[in-house]
Amino acid sequence: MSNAKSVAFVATKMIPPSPPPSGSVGPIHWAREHLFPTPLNALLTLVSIAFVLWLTPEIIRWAFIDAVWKAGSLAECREIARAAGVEGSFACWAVINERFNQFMFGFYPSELYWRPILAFALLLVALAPVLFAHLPRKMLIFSAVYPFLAYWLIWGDSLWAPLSAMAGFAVAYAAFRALSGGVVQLGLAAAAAAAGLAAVLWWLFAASSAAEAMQAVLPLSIEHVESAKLGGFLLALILGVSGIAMSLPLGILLALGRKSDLPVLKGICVAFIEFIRGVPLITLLFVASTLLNYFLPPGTSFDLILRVVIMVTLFAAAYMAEVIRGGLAALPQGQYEAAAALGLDYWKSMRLVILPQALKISIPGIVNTFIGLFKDTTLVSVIGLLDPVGIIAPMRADSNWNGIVWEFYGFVALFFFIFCFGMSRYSMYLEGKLKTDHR
Amino acid sequence: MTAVTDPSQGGFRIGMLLSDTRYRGATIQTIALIAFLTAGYWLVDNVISNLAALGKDFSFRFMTEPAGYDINQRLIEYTSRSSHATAAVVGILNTLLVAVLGCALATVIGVVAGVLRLSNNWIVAKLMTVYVETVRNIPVLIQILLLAAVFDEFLPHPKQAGTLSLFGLVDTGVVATNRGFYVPGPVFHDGSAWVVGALIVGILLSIGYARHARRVQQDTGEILPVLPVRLGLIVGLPLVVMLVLSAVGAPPITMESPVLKGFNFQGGIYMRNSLVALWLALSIYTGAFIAENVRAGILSVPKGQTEAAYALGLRPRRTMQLVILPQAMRVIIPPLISQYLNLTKNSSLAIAVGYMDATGTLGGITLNQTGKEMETLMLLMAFYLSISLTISMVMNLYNEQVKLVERTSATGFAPSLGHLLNNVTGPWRNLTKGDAQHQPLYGVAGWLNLVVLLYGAIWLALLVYLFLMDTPAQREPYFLWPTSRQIVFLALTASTMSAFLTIVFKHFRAIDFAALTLVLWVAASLLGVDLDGLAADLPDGVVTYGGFAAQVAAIAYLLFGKRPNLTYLNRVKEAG
Amino acid sequence: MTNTAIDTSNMVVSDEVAVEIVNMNKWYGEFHVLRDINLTVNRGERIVICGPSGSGKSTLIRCINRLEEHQKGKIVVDGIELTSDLKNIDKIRSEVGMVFQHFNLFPHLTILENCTLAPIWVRKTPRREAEEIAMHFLEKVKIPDQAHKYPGQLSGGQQQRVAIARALCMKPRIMLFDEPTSALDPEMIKEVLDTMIELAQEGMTMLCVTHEMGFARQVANRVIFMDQGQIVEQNEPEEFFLNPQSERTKLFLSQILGH
Ligand SMILES: Nc1ncnc2c1ncn2[C@@H]1O[C@H](COP(=O)(O)OP(=O)(O)OP(=O)(O)O)[C@@H](O)[C@H]1O
Ligand SMILES: [Mg+2]
Repeated sequence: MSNAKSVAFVATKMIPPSPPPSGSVGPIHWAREHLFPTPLNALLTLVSIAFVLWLTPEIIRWAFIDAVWKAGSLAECREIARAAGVEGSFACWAVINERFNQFMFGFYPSELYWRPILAFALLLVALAPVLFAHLPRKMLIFSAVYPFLAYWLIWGDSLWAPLSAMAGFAVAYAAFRALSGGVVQLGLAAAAAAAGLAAVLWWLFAASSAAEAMQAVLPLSIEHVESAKLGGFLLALILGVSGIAMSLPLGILLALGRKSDLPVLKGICVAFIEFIRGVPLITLLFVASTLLNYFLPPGTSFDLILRVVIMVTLFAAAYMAEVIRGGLAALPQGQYEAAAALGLDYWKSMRLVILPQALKISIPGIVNTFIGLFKDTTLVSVIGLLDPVGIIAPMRADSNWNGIVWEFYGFVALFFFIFCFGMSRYSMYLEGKLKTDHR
Repeated sequence: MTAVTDPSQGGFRIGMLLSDTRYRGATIQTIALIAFLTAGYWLVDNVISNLAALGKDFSFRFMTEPAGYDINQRLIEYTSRSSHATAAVVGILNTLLVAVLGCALATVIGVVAGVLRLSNNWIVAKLMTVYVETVRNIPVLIQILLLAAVFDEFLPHPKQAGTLSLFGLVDTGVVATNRGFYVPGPVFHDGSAWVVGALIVGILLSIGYARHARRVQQDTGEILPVLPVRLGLIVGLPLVVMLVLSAVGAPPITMESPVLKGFNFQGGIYMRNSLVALWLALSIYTGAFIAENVRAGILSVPKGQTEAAYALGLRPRRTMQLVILPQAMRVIIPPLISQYLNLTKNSSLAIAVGYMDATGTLGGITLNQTGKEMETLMLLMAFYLSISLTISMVMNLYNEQVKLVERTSATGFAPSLGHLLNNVTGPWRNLTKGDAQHQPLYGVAGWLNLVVLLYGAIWLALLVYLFLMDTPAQREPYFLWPTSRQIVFLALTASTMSAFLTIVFKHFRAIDFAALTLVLWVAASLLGVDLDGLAADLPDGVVTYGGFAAQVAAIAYLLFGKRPNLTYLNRVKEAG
Repeated sequence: MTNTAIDTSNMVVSDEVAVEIVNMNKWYGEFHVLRDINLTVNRGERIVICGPSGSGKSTLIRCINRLEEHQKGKIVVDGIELTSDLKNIDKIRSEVGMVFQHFNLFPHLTILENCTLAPIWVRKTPRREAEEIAMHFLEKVKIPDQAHKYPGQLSGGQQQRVAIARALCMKPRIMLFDEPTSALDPEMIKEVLDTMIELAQEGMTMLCVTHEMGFARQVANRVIFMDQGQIVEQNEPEEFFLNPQSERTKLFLSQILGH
């Protein structure tokens, strides 16, 4: 250590920060780094810029500047455009204008449009407490009643039918209270099973006669609208919203079943999930449209839309179950043990400790499943339902509008894009919020 | 009940069925099972009475009856007099065609878009983001229908159509019309066998060269260029043979361009608009998802890995090859395979544009014409299920392999048949966890594995059968064959399958199966089963001895192969 | 760590210059991270760099093997000036070994493969030879029996020792350490520090960012204190700890030694 003395050094003053040498910051530097770092990149950048500069004005011109908004047929559209001096292609939005109501409601009677619109508005009210945690919890009661209300508003007929269906849940609840705490002391699971059985019995044997009886006593009904008349975005929303609402609880049950250590339960759940995930939705829709009635007692048949909703729900539930299972698997074993150590029984520990965390973890996956389900509702057009995609075919066949393509599909695509993109942003927002919550 | 003697044990009371942990599970399960069986019985009973009421029966005999409809895009011989079974086969092949084409294109699109999204070229990255976000959020059905409609409405009539060119520079020779796409296709002449031979030799040589390069590197440390030489061998050799033959005057393979004859183009390959629309739309849609997987996979490798490699003096390209890609692949491949599966399932949307895939034939026209909803839909679902399960199985094998190498980090989440078995069987799970104490249970796992492979074999058998016996007359349903032929056929394909798996995965569980097939094989030939009759077109003895040899080779390869062995068994042995 | 006596016989500092940094400046965008750094390291020197978080210690040593690019001034390593010439960078990187805070072992390769990767692909050593070298260094860091395991199966301390062995396999003439012990438990810290001390005893030139003051006292022949991107004070360890000159150094030392 000979040179130790020579190393001693103390800075006499602090050096103030100075600006970086020119050329290493600023927009030019940025452009060199991010647009033209290598010749190949420069070429790519130039091609991309040219592409954007060509495409954007072209789209704006096609969709807005040269577009024709009001006309009776494609030929008329062309005349108007030619009169305006348009060369090349242009959007003929007149057709969307003319068929707007069909895109929205299908063949729903126009004097009754207020009913689905009201249902939609109420949907927002019902959704609000679910999406935003700070709203009063009492609003959830309305959310619970909403499905029956919406059913009645859209399909009409006697109010007593949905009410008696709702009564099934009341029956189940009463049975549960009576069996679990009140009259007899049964285990929670047994009480729940019995309650479920009571509700099923009510729906199978008592519900319709009760509804008829009440209808006779106090007729409360609005005009009935057939399922065949439903269509357009209304149908897509009905399928999407009901599928989403029902697939989540079912998916949770399936995931729990798959994770349970009872082999029979587990086997049933696993087989169900793997089966559903192994076949395309379209085959399940075929089952709904042609086969489902075979599985019901002879003579019964129920509504196609309802059958489709059931199939879509089952389909989404299987995917949901896998997403939630992923969330359950991501939880550390310690959480299960801690819950058990606190003396919580299976359902309590699931409800209070495990599921809230697992669901939180899997929110992005759940929302992705929702998005997938919503996009998948378009498949019902293949079995002849008049959803926004299905309703395009007859419009294209209309001799007035024969030859229009982009406008139809673009319009419908835009609708779906807005919803799906919105959902995915919401999920990113939740994800971000979640991350900060955890810190 | 007896008097209570031991408070902790206690006698039996009815209430304990639910309150005692010893019985509770069994009780719940019994109830669940009864409920399940009751529901099942109820459903089947309903079906029987409904069918009876309609005067229908449940049988697959209609499959041998003439289909009576035309299929205009097909890979094998088919006329409207062919049976429904043949129609279904045509449909299945069409599904596989679009699935394979789609997976290939989607991978290309996805990898390019995913990598570009990560590039530090701002505008390119943003454009790719726009692509991914747009395409992912629009239902694929709309994209398919839009493309098909655009092709039908806006492409020119064949009479006006010319060939497409790339930016006005290169003539691709493709003709796009509102009747479909006409693509130049190869025509094979007499000498083409030489080219194919050269290709095979090139592949063998390139494998040999790769080994040589590795040996040289091991011994001297010198790094030989591998990729260019291998490419040169595989591509160059056939090319040279072709050029030589052409120079001699007998070009072995020529490209035939479509030519306008009358109202339509003739020659080349014809693809209907529905096929092209389906193919492109599925690829673009799935490509967006694959791009996300690729991006996530590359991002999943921490920056420290690159820095460590750089600090050791590795160049960026080597770092990519040796450090980043091997790690990113583990993250990318499982979701990539699920995307392939999704694409295959989504190809059933073909029915919306009239492309005759399995759904269009079996679930479409055959269903409508015969009124056999139950049977056709069952077959259709079985078909898709078996594809899904096969893909899951491959994915599972891959995952297992990867997990063995890297035990600490999770390799993503892969729901599959393997998981199903994992969940049903304790031993298998312990096996994958790598617990050496469970070695005695390998037998159990082996048997379970047998089930999986057997299923895979059946599936492969079906494919082999479809391709080998391309004559509709011979294409009678498997279950109508004589039993001995059924078994032998299964054994043949099973042996191919296990040899294949052995080579691809070097998986110790394949050895059980290879051994078993070998035994079956020998037994069958000793019993005088006509093995060669399976593929009557091949010369005598090829099937019998070939199958035998393949099996022995597979086993030998597994036992004595000098490759660094990745199988679990060997790892356990090495670790002692 | 006072219990082990250090054999200083090999720890000679020669006059040959290993690293020379002259008026080096670096910016991250607008942010001036390193300001007018001047530093000469002779062969055989063992330098400990300390300073508050964000003072630019990591950036400084990462500039030495060009994991970060400097914008002004000059860095000369082993007589080779660091420019954007790829050849120079390659040469310097294979002469300079680096150990990271978070080990950065390659999880898909075994310990042995981790160690042989660079010798095989950069130095073009035959595999057998590379493996012998790797086993030699693994023995030196006292984990030869783990050679066929994967990094994930090792404890943190073992992983960091493997990282050291991996760097040594390239036979570097200079070693850089960036807080090699700060992600470890106390027990493991000792095993890693022991390895580093051994390395120092063999006369390796070392630049080490660490807050292990015991280590600094024992092996360093110079301690550098950095703050706000500049070298505030440097001295022999005894002097540095007993007799800090600058107010900032005093404050820092009181914080770090205070508890
Ligand atoms: N890639 C980067 N881009 C922008 N700023 C950076 C980057 N890396 C580091 N910095 C900033 O440079 C400064 C110095 O960072 P450096 O990592 O060298 O600090 P350090 O002294 O090693 O601190 P620590 O003790 O926390 O490791 C910090 O203020 C940091 O925020
Ligand atoms: Mg640091």
